[in-house]
Amino acid sequence: MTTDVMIYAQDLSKHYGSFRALDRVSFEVRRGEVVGFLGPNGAGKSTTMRILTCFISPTGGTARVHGFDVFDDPLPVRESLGYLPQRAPLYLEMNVYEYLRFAADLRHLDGETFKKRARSVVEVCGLAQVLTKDIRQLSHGYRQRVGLAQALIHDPPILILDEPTSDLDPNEKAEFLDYLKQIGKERTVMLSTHNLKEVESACARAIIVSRGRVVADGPLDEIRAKSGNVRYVVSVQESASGSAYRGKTLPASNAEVSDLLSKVAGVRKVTELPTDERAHAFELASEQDADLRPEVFRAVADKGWVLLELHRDTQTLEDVFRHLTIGDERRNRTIGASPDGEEEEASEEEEESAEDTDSDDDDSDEEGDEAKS
Amino acid sequence: MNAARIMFRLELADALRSRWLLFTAAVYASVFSLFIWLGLRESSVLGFTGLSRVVLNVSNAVVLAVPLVALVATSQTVVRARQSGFFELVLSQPMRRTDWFVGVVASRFVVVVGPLLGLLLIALLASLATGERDAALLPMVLRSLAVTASLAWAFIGIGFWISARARSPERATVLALLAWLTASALHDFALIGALLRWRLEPAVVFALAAANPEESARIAILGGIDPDLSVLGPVGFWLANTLGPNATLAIGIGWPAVLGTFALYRAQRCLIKSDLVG
Repeated sequence: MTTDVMIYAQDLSKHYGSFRALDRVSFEVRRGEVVGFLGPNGAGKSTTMRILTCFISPTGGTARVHGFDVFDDPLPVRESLGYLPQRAPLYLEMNVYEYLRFAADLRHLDGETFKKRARSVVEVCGLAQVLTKDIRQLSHGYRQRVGLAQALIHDPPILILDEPTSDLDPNEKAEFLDYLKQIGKERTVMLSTHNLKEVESACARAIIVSRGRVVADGPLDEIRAKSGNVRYVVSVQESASGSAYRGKTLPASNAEVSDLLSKVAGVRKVTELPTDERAHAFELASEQDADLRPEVFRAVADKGWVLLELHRDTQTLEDVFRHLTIGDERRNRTIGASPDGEEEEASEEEEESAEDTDSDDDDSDEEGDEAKS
Repeated sequence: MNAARIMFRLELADALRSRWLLFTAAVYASVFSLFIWLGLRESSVLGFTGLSRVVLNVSNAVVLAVPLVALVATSQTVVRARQSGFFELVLSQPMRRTDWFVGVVASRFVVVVGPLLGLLLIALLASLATGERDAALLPMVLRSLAVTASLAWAFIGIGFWISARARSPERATVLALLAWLTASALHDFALIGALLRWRLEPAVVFALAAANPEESARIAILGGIDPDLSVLGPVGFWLANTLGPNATLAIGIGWPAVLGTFALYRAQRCLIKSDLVG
């Protein structure tokens, strides 16, 4: 693990009885990265967040935050991160300032530092107008901002946000994402969500989990190309419409162009596209991660044909997300589905209720098993 | 500042804002006012009059009210914090679960016992201000305070234990009500009924009575004044006369304290043994 790795998870597992909420999840998040943590409901996002914030312990594997083990050194881990859970439950009878003061006290901030930090988070989170209002009186959006402010009050190097925008209206969401971009310039941020647009607008990298496993991890462009269906659109000028390049002849038929394109290394399929222009248009499908555009260009140029259009149509993150996590959705729609033979279906709520189960010496297991089943 | 102290301060401030303290103070003050209004202050039926008589009756009534107030104040604390996600947020702060637990328990203790302490102090001050010479008042106040504080501790412990084990706030409420009903039923009337119905051994009945913190507190308060008081009931009468005032007081303070400490220990074990990180 290099020193600029702020969050490190290696073979992280969490089992509730026979249900595997997390199954050997491994990833790293480096200093200054804003990473989207994506997955459908029940995929293990919240479980991962809760382990990283030292709320629950993993069944197996290692997790380190800011270099500290979450299980062996929970206090330094908690000191170095700011956390905003999915629902930010606050003391409703307190006013915003008092709540921030409480959060600062827990973080051992002295009076002067608190004032300085409070000014900063109030500005960043847009809380100036509600600072003396009771939290009970605030809208969901403002409560979420208060939650974010408490997570930022101690200026943590790492910020973990678990579906922070789930209760916000579109305007509040947009504002929140603006704050996030602003905040993310100076911090390592891990944003858990199943809203792909949020990730595309705020993150440069994403980790996608499905059924407790990491199914994709990398820059968004790389992930978009991961579905195995990279698409290229190529358009070559028809012979009747102009003169060829370097004195060569333009293609006379679609078949000629199709034949050439299918010979380019990496091309899986060539499909003719309808076009209004006087051109031969084709769609190329490729399974390769490598970019085929240079090869396509060279092949066309060597023939002396005029290339009117060449672009790679990377898929949307949503397409890739669906492709990678479709199994979860299928299982959710099939009664009694258990593709792994061992795993049982569990929603986020079931996961939570299993976590909520108390253990109390001898009789705990019975109660725990009941909740887990 | 220590995290437990911060939590204590925060929970207390929250109790003040949500008028919890006001509620408990109102409960005790209503009982106090009711007895004064009923004329107990002037009554000499039981051989002594004045504020000490009121305090005695208030304490006797409060012995029934304190467990209910304590259970209501505590039985949902952990389960609600867990369900609402508050636990998740608080435990992501640099504090140990034990700090949170200690801070919250202490604040609940102040919420339940604080108003009673205030009321009894007011009674003492009122006695001084009116120039009433009531030698029994101070010992009565101290005795009542010690016994009810210990009783509150017992039910705060039971409440937290219920709260830590229950899987939903609704279930916690039902369990808390059951605990209160059981404690209230294990007074003389139910015990004597059980004795007659199932021909229980008297020793079992007396043991059950003494094991009920509510009954042991009641005997400690009333038996210390006069072990022949008819309000003690047959079981209380026997215990008070057999054990004597000092032993009943020791049991009335010691047993609920032990029970409360044990229940709190179990509640804390529930938190520690679950898969939360320390």
